[in-house]
Amino acid sequence: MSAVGTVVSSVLLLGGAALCLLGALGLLRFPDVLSRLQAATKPQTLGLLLILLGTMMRLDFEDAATLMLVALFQVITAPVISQLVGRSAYRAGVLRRDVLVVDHLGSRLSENGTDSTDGADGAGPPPQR
Amino acid sequence: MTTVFTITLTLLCVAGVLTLVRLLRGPSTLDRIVAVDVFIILIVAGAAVYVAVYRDGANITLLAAVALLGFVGTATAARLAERREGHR
Amino acid sequence: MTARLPQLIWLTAVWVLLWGTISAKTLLGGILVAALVTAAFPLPVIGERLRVRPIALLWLVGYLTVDLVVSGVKIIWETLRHGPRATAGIVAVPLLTDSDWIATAVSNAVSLAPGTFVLQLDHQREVCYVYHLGMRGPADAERVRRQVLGMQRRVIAALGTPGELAAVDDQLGREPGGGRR
Repeated sequence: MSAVGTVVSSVLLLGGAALCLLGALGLLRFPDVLSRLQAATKPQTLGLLLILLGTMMRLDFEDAATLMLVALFQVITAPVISQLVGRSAYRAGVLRRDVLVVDHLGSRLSENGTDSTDGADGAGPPPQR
Repeated sequence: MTTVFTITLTLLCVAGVLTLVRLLRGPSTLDRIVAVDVFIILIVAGAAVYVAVYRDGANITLLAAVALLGFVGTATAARLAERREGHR
Repeated sequence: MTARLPQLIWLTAVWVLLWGTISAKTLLGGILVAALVTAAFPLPVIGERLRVRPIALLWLVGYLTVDLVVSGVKIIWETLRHGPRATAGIVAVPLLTDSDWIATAVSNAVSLAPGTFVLQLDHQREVCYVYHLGMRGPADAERVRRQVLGMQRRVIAALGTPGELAAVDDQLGREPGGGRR
């Protein structure tokens, strides 16, 4: 491997790890589940992709192909995870209302009252356990 | 490359500690599920860094398996958590 | 069985990539596993065709790649700048398609965009509810709305039928300032 290749791959690995760290910081600092979910999906995905890219550069094609699959899988599943967890959080009412400056879904639910997504508009205190 | 390895793994370990703090603090089950998901991503990232530095492809299949199972686990856990909250 | 052929093909492709070698063994093993999986967990066959436009699809992929990078940076900025005092919003955006495929593609694409993900799709009312981290006030709702509409336009341009695309352009033309993107 060329010297340039080593440098580029090192930069990708370091940058990816830094992004993962900042994403974890977001997980700690953000106020509620939905915002933490953003920290858990966006910077983490980007960080993992950079690390996988840096790793692929140092491998032969066969191993790189498998890592490519992992990378692709991460990009496809991250949105699915945010939708699943986000919807669960909203329905269970675990999110903090004071974080939202606009809530069209909540206002729609309180309009017709009887919605299949019951519990979502009962903005009670988050469950303690 | 050893220096890169040390720094990268240190960054990932600090990220892991922060994630564990969120896992312990919660407060809701969904917070913990999100934290576990991040932790799995960090494990995959750490394994990838090892593969990169030692150019040892033996762990790649394991790494792919962890990544795939991580998704299935998180998705299932989210559904179960929703069902449980729904019964309150 | 022909309707399930695409599923067989991509499952085999995943299997071969997992092993990392293209040989008779992995290929045959892949087909076998794919057939077993397809038989054991049959997915509903959605009987609609997608009209793939390669150039628009490449644009979409390029756009999503840029979005992915911007997303990461933007969330980190929110973390460092606002942290515990970050604010967000949930915005209703009209859903411009009837197709399940395209609605899924749209919600995945929107969920890669900076700070955004689709919280709920309401097919009956043709509305999707989009969560956006980093909204400071109700005035930002219009910006989010336009961003999501633009993304729908891009996805439909890449995968939708000509009729659908025309309908979207028509609707975007009627939006105040919506046709700009």
